Amino acid sequence: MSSRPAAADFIRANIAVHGLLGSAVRVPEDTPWQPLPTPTFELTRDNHHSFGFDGVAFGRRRTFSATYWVEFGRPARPPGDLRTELRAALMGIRAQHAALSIGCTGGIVAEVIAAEAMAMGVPLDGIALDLEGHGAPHGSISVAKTRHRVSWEEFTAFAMHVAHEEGCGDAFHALDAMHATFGDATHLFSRGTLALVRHSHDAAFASDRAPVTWAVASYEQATWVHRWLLGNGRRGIPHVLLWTPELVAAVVDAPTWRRYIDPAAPPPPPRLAHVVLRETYPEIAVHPFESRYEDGVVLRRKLQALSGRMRSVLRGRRATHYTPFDRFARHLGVQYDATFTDPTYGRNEAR
Amino acid sequence: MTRDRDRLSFELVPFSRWRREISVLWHMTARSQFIGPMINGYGQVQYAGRELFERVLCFPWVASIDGSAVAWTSTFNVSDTVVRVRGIYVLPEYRSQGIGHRIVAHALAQWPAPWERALLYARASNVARYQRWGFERIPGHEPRVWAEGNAFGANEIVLMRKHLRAAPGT
Repeated sequence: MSSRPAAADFIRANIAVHGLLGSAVRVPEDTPWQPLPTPTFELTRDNHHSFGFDGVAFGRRRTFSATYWVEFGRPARPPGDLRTELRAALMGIRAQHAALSIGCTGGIVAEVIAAEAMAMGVPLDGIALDLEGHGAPHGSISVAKTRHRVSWEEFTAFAMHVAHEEGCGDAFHALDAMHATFGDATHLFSRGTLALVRHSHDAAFASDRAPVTWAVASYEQATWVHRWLLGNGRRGIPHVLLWTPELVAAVVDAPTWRRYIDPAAPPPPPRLAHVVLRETYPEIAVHPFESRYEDGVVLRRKLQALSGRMRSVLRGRRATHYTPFDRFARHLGVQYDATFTDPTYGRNEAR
Repeated sequence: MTRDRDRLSFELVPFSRWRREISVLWHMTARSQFIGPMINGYGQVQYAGRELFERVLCFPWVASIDGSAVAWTSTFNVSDTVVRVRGIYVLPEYRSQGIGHRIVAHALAQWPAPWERALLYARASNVARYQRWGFERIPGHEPRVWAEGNAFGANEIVLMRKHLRAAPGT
């Protein structure tokens, strides 16, 4: 037996005072932000995917220095492939909700969900927004659609509201979410999922500046929908691709994802999960954003400018939680042959 | 005559005080509330989820002379074996006396044996200074861009390490 003192002993002796929630470290609340009600429905199955600020799960940021965190559940069984798990997820969601809706945005997530729902006979209400001056997006979604005309002023007011109240700093996210405001069905949101980051890569140098490592990035921005739903008592599924741990594992186990876990590969694109979907469903055609709308190039520019305005009134931060990829894959039971740990950062005791 | 550094005393202070005092000196006035007790640039932190609250310790230090604060630093663990030095500041009139070295050495000395190495990100212009303190550049880690660096006149940072104690048996 080693006589070397365990890190756990030192941590145990100090955590109450010097831990991130310790009496000497935790900062008194410096804002009057209100807590959120406890979820009365499952944002993901059994709420396996949780997020929070400091020790509070499914809450709002209460101080600017609070630590944002994210956790994922463990699969209860070996996952199937992505198509199988996505269908299982949709059936699981359907079993919990009487009516479902989706925004006809023309994006890959919405198109895939609609296609699978159609194939399985899951009723789904398509909601199309006819945005003043830009029309409704062209997409191949063929679920029953209701069309709602929205002026740019109405959309801007909504976007600025969710920026200020819930911390949404992205007008594209806000546009997706606005679909949910039309109708009472449980809305399936289609933006914000898993992101793979190659930490060693420096975009400014266009090269790796350290031994190659990856992490799964979870953005505080991507959980504004959760807070908006909880705060307004509205039912919705913020990220369908996170519905079960098995579905998350299927994404991480997909050939596309594996292709990027390779030191010889280029850095992963920002929305790798969407690329995974596109390659898993090659039969579903998705048009670039600019060609989905009338004057789509102009609309993109307007949304980018609006995003800047939203960030100027943002409630919260643009924090990111990183899970080292080797830990993430092990947690999900997904086998990778390579090692992803840079010994520079040390190791943790077996727990 | 007693040198300033020989009259130093070290105090562990509440993080809220540390961030308030050092933020002004970092020219981030009015943004002190944005300073978190730990940061995870380039994914150094090997903990995840709520484990962050069960494993990470943050120690904000102040060095004083005759009761007046003159230097600040902080440390936190990025894993069960490696510590990160985050933030080193010495008031201009007390520089070049070894005070920065002393407060960092004191802060690192508090970590017991399981922690065997310290890391810090140095602006390129400070690398030589930290080498004198016993830090070294880490093979395989090249200088990289520090997004906020332009505001401080230096936009490259270098990851450096220091072994906290001799390896067992040496």
